[in-house]
Amino acid sequence: METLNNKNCEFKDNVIDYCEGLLADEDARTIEAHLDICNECKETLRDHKAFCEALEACNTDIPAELHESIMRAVKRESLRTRFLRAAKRYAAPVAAAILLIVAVPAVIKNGANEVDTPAHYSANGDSVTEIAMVVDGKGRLGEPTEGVKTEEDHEIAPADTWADIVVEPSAEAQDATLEAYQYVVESGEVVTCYLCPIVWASADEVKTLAQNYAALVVQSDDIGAVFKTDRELLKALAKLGQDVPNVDRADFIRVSVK
Amino acid sequence: MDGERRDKLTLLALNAASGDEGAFEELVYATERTVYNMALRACGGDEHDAADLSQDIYIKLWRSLASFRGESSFNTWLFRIVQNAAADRGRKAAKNRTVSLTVEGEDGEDGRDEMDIEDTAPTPEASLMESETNADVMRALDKLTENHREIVILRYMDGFSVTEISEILNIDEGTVKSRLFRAREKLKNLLEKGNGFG
Repeated sequence: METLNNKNCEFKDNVIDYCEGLLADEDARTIEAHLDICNECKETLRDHKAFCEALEACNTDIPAELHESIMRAVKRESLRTRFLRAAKRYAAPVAAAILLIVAVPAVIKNGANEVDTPAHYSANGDSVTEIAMVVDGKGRLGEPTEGVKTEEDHEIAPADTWADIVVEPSAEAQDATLEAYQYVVESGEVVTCYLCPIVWASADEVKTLAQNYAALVVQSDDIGAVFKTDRELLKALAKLGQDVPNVDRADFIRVSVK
Repeated sequence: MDGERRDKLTLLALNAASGDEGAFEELVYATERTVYNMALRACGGDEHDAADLSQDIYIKLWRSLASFRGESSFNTWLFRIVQNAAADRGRKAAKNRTVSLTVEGEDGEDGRDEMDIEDTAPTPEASLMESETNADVMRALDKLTENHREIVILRYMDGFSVTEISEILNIDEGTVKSRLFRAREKLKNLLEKGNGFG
């Protein structure tokens, strides 16, 4: 069979469309037959394949853990939405941010009483019907529903006494949040929720809490994010003191989760 | 084959929109590599930021699935979500100052553990050749005009069809094809001059 070597072959552009899978079946077969006899078009095909592959090769594979972290984030979002819908049935108004303490344990001072409350449960270990206290993004208390103790002894400090730290929660903390949401949504119970003490905690209280408790929930744009605190937090806070003014001198530390 | 894949994505999205969690995860599997690479480019190559942005994108996707009707291409719809998420992240980054908590080891060094990874990596010579070729391609891309670079990336790196590119860039398909032709020819010339590619 005669082979062609026409540098201006009329099929050249069609070869590129063929390479990219853009031709209808019949046209594709025509080009395939032409490729059997045209060296120029074979070279065009080869070059274009290499071109496409070289560009695709500039893409990188996703990090190993990314798929799981995506699914975890979406699941948390799904549960958050369901939790907010459930909360609306019990309390009005519901502000944009609801804080959920999922920690073991959380200490709240309320006048003379100290409530030492394990995660998910009421003070006496039974489920309760009070609804979460609601806090808006600025740390102000919303209207608590009947039966929930207010934190009258904790006044919200002026802004210039805050030190702001933005942290990234660990994967374990995110899992703990998921677990908390699942408990609230799937159990059908509404647990007593407390404002995270760290929102208005003094610097000393933060350090004490960090030493004694397995996890703390912090005020977050991403509601209910939890991070594990232990000696590492103290070390990190000490380190952050060099970068975040006032963290050692602050009357209050506000920790937000990125 | 492109058409079949797009149909599959649209069907998965519609199923996910009606609450099928398995369909949503399949959608993530099918698109995460493209989304991650788009995020990587939006974050200037920062892998950590790109991973965070990828999460944001899929959360936005999940939130907005209820409004997807399948009237437009799913890929085009996803592209808009990526664009919006990247823009939101850019705005937040300008506002916030972030300090990351990392675990310190006793010697004060970053305490991230090194994992034992099975050695299936290419040989050093193959890796070097690949990275040199990638670097050549990226350098050549940088020399294109913004219009040409954008359309080459959309077509050959992100994998969008001519029709989808036409919707994304809001230009007709004829313009997409002619712009692609010119961009391709220019890029091929740059690569041939650069390292004997082709």
